[in-house]
Amino acid sequence: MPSTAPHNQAAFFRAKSSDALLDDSLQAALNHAKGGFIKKRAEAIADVDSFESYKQQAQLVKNHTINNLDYYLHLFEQNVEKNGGQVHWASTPEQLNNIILHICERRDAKTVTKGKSMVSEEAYLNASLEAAGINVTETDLGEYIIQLAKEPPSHIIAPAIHKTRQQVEALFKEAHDLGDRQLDRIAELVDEARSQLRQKFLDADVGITGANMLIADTGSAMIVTNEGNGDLTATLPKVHIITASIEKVVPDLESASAILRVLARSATGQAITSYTSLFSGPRNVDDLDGPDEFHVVILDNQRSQMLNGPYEDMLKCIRCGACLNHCPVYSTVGGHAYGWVYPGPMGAVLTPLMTSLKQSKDLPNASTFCGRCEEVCPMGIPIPEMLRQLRNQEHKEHLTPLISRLSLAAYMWLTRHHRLFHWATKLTHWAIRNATSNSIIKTRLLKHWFEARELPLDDEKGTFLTQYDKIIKSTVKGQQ
Amino acid sequence: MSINLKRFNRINRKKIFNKLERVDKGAVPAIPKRPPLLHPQYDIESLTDIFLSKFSASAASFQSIDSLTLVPELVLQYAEQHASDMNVVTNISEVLQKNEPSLLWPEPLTLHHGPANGEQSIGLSYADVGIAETGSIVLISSKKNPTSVNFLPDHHIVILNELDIVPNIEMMWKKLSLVAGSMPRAINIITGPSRTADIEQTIQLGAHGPRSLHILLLMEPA
Amino acid sequence: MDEVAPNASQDLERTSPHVALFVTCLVNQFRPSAAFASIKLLEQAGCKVSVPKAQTCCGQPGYNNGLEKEAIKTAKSVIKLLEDHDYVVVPSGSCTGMITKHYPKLFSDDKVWHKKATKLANKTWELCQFLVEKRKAEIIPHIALSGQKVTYHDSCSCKRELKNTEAPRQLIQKSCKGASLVELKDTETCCGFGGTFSTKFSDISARLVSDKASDIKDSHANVIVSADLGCLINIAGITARQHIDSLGYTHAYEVRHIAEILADNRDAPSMSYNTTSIITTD
Repeated sequence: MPSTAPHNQAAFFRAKSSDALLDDSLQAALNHAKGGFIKKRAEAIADVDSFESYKQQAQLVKNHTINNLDYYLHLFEQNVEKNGGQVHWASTPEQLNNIILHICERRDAKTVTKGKSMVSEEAYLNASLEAAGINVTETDLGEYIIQLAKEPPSHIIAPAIHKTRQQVEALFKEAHDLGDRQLDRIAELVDEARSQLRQKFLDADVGITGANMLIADTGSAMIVTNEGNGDLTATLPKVHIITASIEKVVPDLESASAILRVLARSATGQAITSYTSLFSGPRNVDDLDGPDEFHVVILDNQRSQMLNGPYEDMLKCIRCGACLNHCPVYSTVGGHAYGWVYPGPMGAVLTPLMTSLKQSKDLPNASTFCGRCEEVCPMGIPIPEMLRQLRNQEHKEHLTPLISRLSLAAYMWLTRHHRLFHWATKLTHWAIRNATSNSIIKTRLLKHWFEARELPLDDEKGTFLTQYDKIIKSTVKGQQ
Repeated sequence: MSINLKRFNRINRKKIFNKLERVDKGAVPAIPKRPPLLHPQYDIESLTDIFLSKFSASAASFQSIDSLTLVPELVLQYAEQHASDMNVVTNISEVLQKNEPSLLWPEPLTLHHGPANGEQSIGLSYADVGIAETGSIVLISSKKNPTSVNFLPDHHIVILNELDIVPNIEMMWKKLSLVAGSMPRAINIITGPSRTADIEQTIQLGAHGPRSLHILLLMEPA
Repeated sequence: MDEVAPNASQDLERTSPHVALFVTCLVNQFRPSAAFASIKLLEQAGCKVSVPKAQTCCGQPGYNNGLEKEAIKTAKSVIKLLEDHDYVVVPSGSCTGMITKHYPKLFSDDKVWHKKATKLANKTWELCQFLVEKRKAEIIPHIALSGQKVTYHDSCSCKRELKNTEAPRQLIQKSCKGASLVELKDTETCCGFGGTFSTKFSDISARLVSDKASDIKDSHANVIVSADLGCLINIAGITARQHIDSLGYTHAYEVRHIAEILADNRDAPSMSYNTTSIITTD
């Protein structure tokens, strides 16, 4: 049974977001989460002299790397090989799965432990491994919870943010054979997961982790976690496979430090996470532990298409999740509504670019353009501008409803014909004033507005320009 | 599954690199000079204080020692107060003994050498570097510091010499002078015990790694 | 900032600059009193105000919904209409942002028009910001709101595009003597209007504005003002729906454009009072 549904459901944003608004336990979980990340980030930023200078440095690093992506990827590959590891390249998610399956099967792997990896979510790697008879266990607590729930993550750094503790308890009860043991407290739930997963770590044949950065200069992967599950996954099995994507590379460790300074502060509001680890290859001759094989699988999955175009800045995204945490839409409907791996504002850009705009045409529209995502983005990615570009593309490709295309075009035409524009304004003015509750305005045209709100009436003396015109005319007359 | 991994890789690699290639192919890009970092370039005198203040914020604890001879007794005390058994996994006893040949490990502590296997309550390591900026200790995988000791035991006790504290992350990398081809397998920058906030954003210590982190800070006699 | 010659610009500060009021389509239609109040404030600040008759809309609805080419055409007609004034003042953060931030972007491939757009952008101001930052105007105080609790809702465009959060608050404190300015618990989050967003995803929008309404209730404010009519229509709309009495009237809040309370121009009824519910009882 695949642990995540291998389907892109971004086409159903409208329905899923409406359902989400009516889902009481989801709303309870979202309400509980609301503000927590925001407050912690604000405190972490206030705690340093100039977060702006940290951002500048990090952006400089990323801009430089993105401009020289081929050079640094090549350097990274060479240096991983110097360290005794192997780099594999995957253009598509399917290729990533094939490479990893191949490595697992060559070592006759039966069990795999996994650290959190969004790249592996893009490929539905778990489903592919399980289909080949390999037992996969997610070890990040949040990922473990949603694996039990057979759901995809709803947040890129807090995958189970949509679950209440009662739901987690129910999942553990079902999966763990607890007898009459109660797990009322969060501490008990965490301990239960710890003891269940301990043996999995020790028994696993292969450990798969993601990477927050790939360091070209030293041929290393940097992994940032709080739980320590990534380190256990990278250390105990005899094979360590890292899944990463092309834009994760940075020139050197000094550059990585600049990104580290903004990453945890933006994500969880920590100055640094509990564990920041650098893995650079298989065990050395006199090491007492560590894997004997070290693989890095680098996925493209449409990213190279973003280079040199309007969406290139998106390659600077370091997956901190700040845009999700601060997005009014994400905070109201949660991550699953977005239907694919990446939710929230960054997901609304990435999903159309990495899957299909036609299949995810609602996402670029699911924004009030409030601009908070761009404001909190440590990389300064102009997300609203990209969403606007995607809307342009939708319009060009006729993915928007005909009626809205026509009425917007008519409206825009009117804005350049002021006499007609004002005539139309007066007509609307009259129509709204005289609209009864069963008029077409309320039941059709502005139906959605009126479901929740009233529409304030305009002035009975007419529009401002009408009134102003009268005053000017009467003044002129008076002067004569 | 029968793919020729090498061939498969060559084809994919070419496909990806074709799309990435810059106009100026051959040139080695010069990393732009970073603007000055507006965070304190701490002065050497205050490094220990800064380290301790940042370190305490990470929910870790510390004791200062002026001699390594105190280590066994303090490990015993810590074990009695916190641990469920007296098993200690460590590979630094030789290091300690080198400096203090008369070093004795009091009963009932039982010392284990080699990697941790999940059966020891306490791991004891010697940190390679401390970072003042973040209050972190840095452990490099080696015969003396197998990585599993940092993560499998319930409690992690780490000795840190205050002379090994550097101001910031960059200085730490500099001090380690790492070169591809002779890299340690793993470098762990550790800041406090293992934690998670994955259930209802409530911070809980001891997710998968150590439930507690205790530092024995070796101070120079004044 | 201004591309006016230094001498001319100094003259402008001394004498009375010629200001074009771009009222915006929403103020024109829904809140004429905000436009009259804006004129009053500008004149008090020593400006010669004119209202270009041929003005319509800045083109944002098309610009934000994929009709970039149409937005370019509309921007050109707005630039032509407004470019000859010393300043253009707009009683809306969102339309100001459209002109100052987005018009130049629309012409990134067209040198001639980019220059014109930048020139207009540099002399276009949101009303409160113009009064405080550009004119350093002395505002005339009044006691009409004495004893009332006023809250100012930051529109996202004022807050993020224009970095304009201080000016409106300063103005309220200086003009509304005896009133207290209270802050909402969360002044960062969008009210959920978002232009066409409110109709495309009406249920999400409704949830966001009802969250805003409960913040307003918790603040104990009875006067709600903002510098953007979009937010005001949304907020007035939800407070009206939530607080309708048996006769269909709403009394809970006085919802107005900020210019109206600054100019003490409060003859028009509250936006939440004057709603469609009043005359639509079947």
